[in-house]
Amino acid sequence: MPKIFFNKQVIPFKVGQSVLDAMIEFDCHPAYSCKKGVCQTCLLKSDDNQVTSAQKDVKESLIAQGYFLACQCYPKEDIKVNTTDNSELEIDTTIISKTHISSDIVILKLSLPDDKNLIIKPGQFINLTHQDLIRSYSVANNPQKDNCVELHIQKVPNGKLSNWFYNHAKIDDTLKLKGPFGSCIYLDNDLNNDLILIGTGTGLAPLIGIIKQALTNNHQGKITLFHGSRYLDGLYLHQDLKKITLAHDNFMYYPCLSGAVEDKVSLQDKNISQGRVNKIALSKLTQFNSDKFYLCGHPDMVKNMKKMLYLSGADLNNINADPFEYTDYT
Amino acid sequence: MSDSLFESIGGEAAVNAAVDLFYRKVLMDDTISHFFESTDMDAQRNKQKSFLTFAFGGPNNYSGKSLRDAHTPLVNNGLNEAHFMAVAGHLQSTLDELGVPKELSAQVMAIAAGTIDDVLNR
Repeated sequence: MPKIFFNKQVIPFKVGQSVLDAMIEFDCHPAYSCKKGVCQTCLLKSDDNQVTSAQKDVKESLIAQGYFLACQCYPKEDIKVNTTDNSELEIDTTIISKTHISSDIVILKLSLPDDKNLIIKPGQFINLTHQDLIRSYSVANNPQKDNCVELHIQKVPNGKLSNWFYNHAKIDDTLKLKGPFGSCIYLDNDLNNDLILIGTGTGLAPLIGIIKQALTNNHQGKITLFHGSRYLDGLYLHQDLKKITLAHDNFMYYPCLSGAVEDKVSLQDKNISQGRVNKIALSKLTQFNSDKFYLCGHPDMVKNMKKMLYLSGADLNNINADPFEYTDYT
Repeated sequence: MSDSLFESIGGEAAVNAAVDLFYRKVLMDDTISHFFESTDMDAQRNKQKSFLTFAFGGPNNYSGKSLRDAHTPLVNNGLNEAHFMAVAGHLQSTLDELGVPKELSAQVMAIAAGTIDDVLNR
């Protein structure tokens, strides 16, 4: 009898039985709902090619990571599968550089743990633990290429860990890393598609990671970035991004300021639009059918933008959204 | 009987053609959109797909109890017959836009109408 290797369990199954049914029969208590390949509750991960027929209507960015529907997967031989939260291991990482880039944002570089199974893609996020505090941060570079993990961390009011990072963290401090998570990633087969990236604040971190990877990949479609902030200081990569637009014809950058304009610099800089980033993006976009969208940052902006894009004709499967949910723990 | 409705209407392809038309109509209707605005729009869209598969007479796992339980929080938030009729109206106009023949769309509407007591927890 062939077997399913699931985490540490070995589950026998009959050919003709779905992975989900075998798991239910073996009392694994998998999450599921419709058993018809529609609801996507039973998503699991595997790198076995026996799952390819069970990936219908699964988001491309999830397929790229091996996600499949357990209820639609009928393997013929032994197969190894994982739960979607496959990163149960915590790995040590150390701070190798720290740059204060604005009055409330710090750019950290962490050592890339020496673990062949750890593949972190730009745009995904990781969980960091320091003194029992766990927070999620997005990856702003290609860790495998740069041999480090770059994070952009914004101090939030009462934010214990973000304030520690900004004010106290030192080079060589050690943290626990868990992950990666999330599906806001660049896909090689989007080479000719137009990419539209919209972010607020440090929502720029995953977006710049995706943009750099697309440019390294010699992306052929247009890449358009909208970055919103209340104040000029929050457009923390303004100069770098202007340089990228000069170097790449297919990259466009629209910085947007939503707060009151107090300083002359932002008035003089003709690149900067005044207003909320979601409104400005909608006013500049003309077609929605085949573009790939990436939305990161403030949860209200992400939620509103996703709805507006969908209502404008975008395919939900082409919208990758990463709302930066924030909990005030005080 | 129900299998033949699903086949005549065009099966899974019909569901795929209808789901975005239908979900967009519902989201654009300010009188009901708040019941459908979820932080997870992908999951919401999949729920609409399950519903349409059911209403088109297709294979489904819908049971009266699951329909009832799923709508209890919405009923507690004021979901009433007017909302139900609004959604039904969007289903009808989706079918009309797709050019579904009247005799088939009448069957779909009858299946949808049959859920009213469970949806409204009556």
